[in-house]
Amino acid sequence: MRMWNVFKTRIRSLLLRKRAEMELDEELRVHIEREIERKVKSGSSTEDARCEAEREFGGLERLKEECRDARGWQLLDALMQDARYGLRVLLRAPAFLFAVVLMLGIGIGANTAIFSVLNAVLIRPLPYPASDALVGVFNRFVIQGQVFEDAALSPGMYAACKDSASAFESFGVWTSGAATMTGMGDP
Amino acid sequence: MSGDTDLLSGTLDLLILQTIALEPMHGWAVAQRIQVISRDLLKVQQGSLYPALHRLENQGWIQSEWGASDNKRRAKYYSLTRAGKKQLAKETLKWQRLSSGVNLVLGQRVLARS
Repeated sequence: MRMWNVFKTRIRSLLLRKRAEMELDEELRVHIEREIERKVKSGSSTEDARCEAEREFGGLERLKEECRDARGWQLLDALMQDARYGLRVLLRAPAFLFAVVLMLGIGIGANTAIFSVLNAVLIRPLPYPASDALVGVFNRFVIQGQVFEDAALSPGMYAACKDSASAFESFGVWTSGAATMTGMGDP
Repeated sequence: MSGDTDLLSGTLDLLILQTIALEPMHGWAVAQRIQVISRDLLKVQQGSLYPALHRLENQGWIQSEWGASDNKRRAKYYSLTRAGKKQLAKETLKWQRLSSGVNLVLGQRVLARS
């Protein structure tokens, strides 16, 4: 219930800024009038009463500002002002604006490009059937205390592995290498 | 608040809530009522009254409505919401604890002197 009331007040002060502003004016005016009446009743002249009542109010504009602050209009006001100011400053320095836009553009573009590569290579599943069941087996052996990692596989060993590796559904080999293409046609 | 009766912050809120709890009132009447009931000890200045009213309304403790006043002029009437009633009870308790605490300490000083 309280939240609803707060919400209502805020929305109203946002949407009906003009009206809220007028209401604030009127509220304060009513107060001054009352105060003048009271002073007149207790014997001052109308002029004196008006002067005194207005003086008691202190700075009317400052008071209004404080009331607006209390209602939380200020935040949006300040935000809008900052946005407008920022825009104006940028438009006043077009070269800077251009540089900034270019830098941001290149930055975002580079990020997107790198991410699309990483996404294809590392994150997305491999383009094979049942790719989550795919495992790598590497050849590693020790001769007289020296360890050989990722050693090459002889055709005989491949045949032996393929026959005896019953833990796997099937077994294949791959090798990596580089090639230079010089033209079209069969090698 | 004025002069030598500078109030602790938060006390004005408590006074406003209590005053409005009696009946819906416009700003000027709230100030008058506080001054009269406190036998002129407390004088609420407009400079702090209206921001406080708007703040309390923004917090949902009081609500306002335009209505006709005694001599058929429009005035903005403030009244307590349900949350405001709870807040008033809470603030009153807080104030009572604070003031009795301070009184106890001051009383001790008087006792120690005599």
